[in-house]
Amino acid sequence: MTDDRTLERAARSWIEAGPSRAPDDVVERALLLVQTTPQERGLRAPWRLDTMPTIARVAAAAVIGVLALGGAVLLFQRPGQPSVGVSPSSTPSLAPTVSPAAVTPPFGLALVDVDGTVRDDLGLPLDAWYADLSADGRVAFLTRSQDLGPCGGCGREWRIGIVDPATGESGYVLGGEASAVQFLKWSPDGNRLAYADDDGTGNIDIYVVDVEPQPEGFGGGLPRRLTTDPAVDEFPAWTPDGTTILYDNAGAEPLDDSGFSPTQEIWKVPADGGDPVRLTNNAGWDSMPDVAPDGTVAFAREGGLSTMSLDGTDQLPIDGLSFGLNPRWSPDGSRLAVLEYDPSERASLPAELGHGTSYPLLRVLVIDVATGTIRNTGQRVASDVNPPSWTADGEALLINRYDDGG
Amino acid sequence: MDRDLVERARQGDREAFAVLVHQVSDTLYAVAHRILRDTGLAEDALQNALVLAWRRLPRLRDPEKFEAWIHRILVHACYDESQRARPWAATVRVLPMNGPSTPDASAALADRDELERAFRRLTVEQRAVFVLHHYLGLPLVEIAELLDIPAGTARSRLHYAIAGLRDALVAAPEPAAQEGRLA
Repeated sequence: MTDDRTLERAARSWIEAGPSRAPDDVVERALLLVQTTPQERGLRAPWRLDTMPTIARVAAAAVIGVLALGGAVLLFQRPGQPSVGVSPSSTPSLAPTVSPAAVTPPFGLALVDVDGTVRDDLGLPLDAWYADLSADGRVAFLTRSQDLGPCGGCGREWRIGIVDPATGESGYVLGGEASAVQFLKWSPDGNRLAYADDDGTGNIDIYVVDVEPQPEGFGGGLPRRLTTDPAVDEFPAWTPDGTTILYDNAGAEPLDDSGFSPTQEIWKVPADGGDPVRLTNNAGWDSMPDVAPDGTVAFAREGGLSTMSLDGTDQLPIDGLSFGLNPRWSPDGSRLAVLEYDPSERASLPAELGHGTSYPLLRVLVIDVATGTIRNTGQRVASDVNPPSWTADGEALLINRYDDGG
Repeated sequence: MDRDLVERARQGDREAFAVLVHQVSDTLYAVAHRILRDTGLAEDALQNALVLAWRRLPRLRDPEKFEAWIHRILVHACYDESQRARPWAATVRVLPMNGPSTPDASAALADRDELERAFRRLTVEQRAVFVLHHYLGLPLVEIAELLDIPAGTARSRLHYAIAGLRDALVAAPEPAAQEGRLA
């Protein structure tokens, strides 16, 4: 069978003998994904057009199998919370259960204008969590997606992923399993990430890692541990000059089921290492600091939001919100993006995302600091661990949207 | 292909898109399977291509070209899947699809096995052109337009695909004589 004609005839006969019908389940899965996939209409081309992350397929399958929730549900449950110092809730939740007929809505990271208009559905992995947006537009997030680039033979492990939606460059930071990583926060110059991580003993502390451009995307240096206190350290935030990191420490009392403790206070530590210094010493909990360009610190406290100076003085409440979380200063310091909790609503996520299935649903609000005006963007997120982050021009927010049409 | 269906799907009508999908998915899957030679990869390529086609449909300028356009998306999905080819290869023999064995079955089986092995040695780009030409019956000019490559490149890939098959078959050892073989 060496002459070409004979060979072609044989090959044609051979290639015709194969499957001629698409598997029904594959087609139906694709159509199910289409139900929650937006079309590209005048949007900036999203990252990775050519592949669908595996998690999206799994999430689609999970949509079919959403189960009713019942029984005890933790309020403000945070994934990855260690068992040390946290007792499981035994009190049945008063929150409404999710109907088994409820369809899991669209969710995922998107750029949203402050009026709530979705500017760009970024097409990032659906399991992206703890995301933060750098000043130059790169997104860091925790994910199990394996599509961001070489990762040394990684399997379905949690990693810090970095994506630049403008260029399509992507990669991973940190080798090995990063399942305990939380609260990613870019340094102002975009060269480092601060985050909270478990050292393997249940001790959660603040770390910093360099983000390094690589020939194929991004990589990272060795992480540096900044705190060692046995109490939980969370929510790192950089000062504008990048020299100091603020965070909250749970203190002597362990975090409760909601993730708060009456001894929880705001601290600061040099970004290159050094002794931590406490900034607050209030009766209730203080948490989730963020620093404005002029050095004003906004933070959440029991009963509302407050501001203070970088040395902990001049503490003043921000009026208008009975329960505001995770304040984030706009780049010009004129506004705060805030999460407000509504106990009548809950988010239901597919189990396969790996973050748990039921979360508080929080509204994304924008406060004009000068006038006190509060604007509801109409956007919502699941859990207070997914705060919005501002674009450099202050015109939009990176939001891990939860949209059930409500 | 119903132009109106394509137009409606372009405007965001998911039901119209579903009708289109059911019209083309069999052919798309058949092409993907013949390029990738792996059921799992072909299923992934098909699913990815269908969802990507939905996302990009507003960009399709001429609804009349929907079939060629979605085939291009599929072929590129096959390229992607070939990069993620499973490290373990199926060891099940490729058996003839038509009828029970005949006295010539063993020889035909050997030829098919050799063709299968030879085909797997081709690049995925060569396989794609080969399948589009010999399975779908598309002329090379049309293949070039479909894949958005020069006609000479399409011709070259087909030429090297045939040459690659020939070389692999020439190099394959003759099947050993089997005692007790049926006459």
